[in-house]
Amino acid sequence: MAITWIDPAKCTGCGICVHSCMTDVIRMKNRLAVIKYLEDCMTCFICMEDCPEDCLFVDAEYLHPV
Amino acid sequence: MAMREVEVQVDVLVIGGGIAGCLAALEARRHQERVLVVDKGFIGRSGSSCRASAIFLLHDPQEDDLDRTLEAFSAAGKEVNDLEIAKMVIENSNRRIRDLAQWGVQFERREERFHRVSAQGHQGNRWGVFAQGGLHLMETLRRRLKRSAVRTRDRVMITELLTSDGAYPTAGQVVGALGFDVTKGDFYVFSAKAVVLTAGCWSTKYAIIPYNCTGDGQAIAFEAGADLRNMEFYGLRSSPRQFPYIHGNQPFFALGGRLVNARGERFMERYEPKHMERATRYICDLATWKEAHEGRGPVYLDLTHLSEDEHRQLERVLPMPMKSIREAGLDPRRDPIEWFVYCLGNTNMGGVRVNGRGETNLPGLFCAGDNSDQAYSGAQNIAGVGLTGSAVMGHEAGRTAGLFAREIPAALPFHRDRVAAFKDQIYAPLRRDQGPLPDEIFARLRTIVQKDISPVKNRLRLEEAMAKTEAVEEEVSSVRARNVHELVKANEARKCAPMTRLSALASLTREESRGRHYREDFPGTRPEWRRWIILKNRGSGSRDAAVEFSAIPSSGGW
Repeated sequence: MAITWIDPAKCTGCGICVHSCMTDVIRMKNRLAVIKYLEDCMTCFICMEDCPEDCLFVDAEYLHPV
Repeated sequence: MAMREVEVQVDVLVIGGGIAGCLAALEARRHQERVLVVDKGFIGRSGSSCRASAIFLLHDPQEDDLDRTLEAFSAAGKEVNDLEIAKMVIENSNRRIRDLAQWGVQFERREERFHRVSAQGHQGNRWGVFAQGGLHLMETLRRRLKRSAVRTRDRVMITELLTSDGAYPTAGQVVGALGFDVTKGDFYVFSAKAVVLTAGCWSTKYAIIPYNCTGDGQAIAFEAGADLRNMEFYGLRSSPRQFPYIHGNQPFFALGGRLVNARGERFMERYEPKHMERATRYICDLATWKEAHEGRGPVYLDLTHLSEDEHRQLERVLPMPMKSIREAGLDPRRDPIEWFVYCLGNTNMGGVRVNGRGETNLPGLFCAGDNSDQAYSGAQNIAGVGLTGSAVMGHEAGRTAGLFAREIPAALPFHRDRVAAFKDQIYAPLRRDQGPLPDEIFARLRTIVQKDISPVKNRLRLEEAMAKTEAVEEEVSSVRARNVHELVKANEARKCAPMTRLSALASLTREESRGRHYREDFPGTRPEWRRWIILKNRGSGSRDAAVEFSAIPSSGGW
């Protein structure tokens, strides 16, 4: 469970997702958003919600308890 | 890495841009020109407010009986709340919520009127009103700051307060703060006539999630000499098991969600038959913990019986949680959602001691929101008081700070030697090539928080936790960071570790169980413990905490 993918083909480099992330997971590189510190993703979905291009994917696979 | 050094002069500095900080800044701006809000994240997307379920307590003086509301506060807060402040929060709720609505915050309405609901701790009364999610709430407030010419500085972590005498604890007053840019590393010194601390609660990073509220605001206040109160009332939180990042669960229960155990029993019947899932939150959380602990788990949140209209309302008031549940392939109309309890820290209670005007014991330092002790809540709040209390007290602290600053011609000077020493301390982890990484420190703190000091406490574990935390604090002094991102976490660990120890100390002191504070070696509530535990910084370093007791004024009069 975490942010898994930012589609470089769709990303316009607007930087909104960088602001969305309170734990500073996403940074800009070569004018595109990249996942820099994956270990700090708290899977809050806010970047996905805020992205105007719909190019971020956060994985929320539900793990059934054993 | 070339890092700049930036010095900024303002009238009022607000540290933390959640709802309390935004309202403090907006009100302070009415009295002073240069008001600045600084936040470790991006204002509007940082801390707890933007992740809140956005339920507010709304008191309608025409329809509601103030005494009944106060009784509900007292019942939930287990008589360790300050009912004078509670009364002020209740009475001002209407004004603050109308301000928010006027600024563009959308609330749930029926025929133009606020649509009020009954939620946890409301004793069957309809005292709650929902805004449409925390993101919308905070976006609106960010826009309002800009429109009101309040300055903002995103992504600067404040690590120390400046004092007029350069002493910690200070015998003088608070004259600013310092910190660094969390992406570039630039060093910032803010000199101010008044400082409002609204930097949120203490929670342990990675205890469940890598959250950014690490108790920085509470720690820096204590280091400067501010008193802490009610620090033992941390404890359980609850959320869907796979979505612990979901903050604020009130709508689930306000709209009729049920808790069931693995046997399909609606177990709240056994714990609180009158109000069931709308009992005070800690009663529900403790019941959930007991069901799981005694072999009747896992516990589920059942929304399957709700009407289509209620499901649609859930989507409106909990947009993010409902989205994540859908993303996970669950259909709340059909699937029960696993529910669990855990400890993060003192979200919603305990912190810097303030009076009804938002003043701390230090001149020049004001405080509100989760950063403060929220004495209106006591041992537990009722639903909606988190946001309403932060809004009302943020506004009050902002006004008091604004008026305080207006009386001073200029900010008092700060001690440059001291600033240089702090700067050295902040960046030291970057210079080390040996020592533990911040994540290792947080891993140790997580074990202490989850196993030793919660959810059920006893003397032995608390004493062990104190010793372990002291060892962690020792390690923090040799922590290394490989980049600025890790430097942030290194400094967060430096603030978080002492807060963990101070919470354990307060818990060890209170030899009874009350509200969220549950001691298995003292399971009953004892009348002689109806008093506040105050932690004071007695000097010789911030670690020297003295415990004092304070009588709670009798509630006569209300």
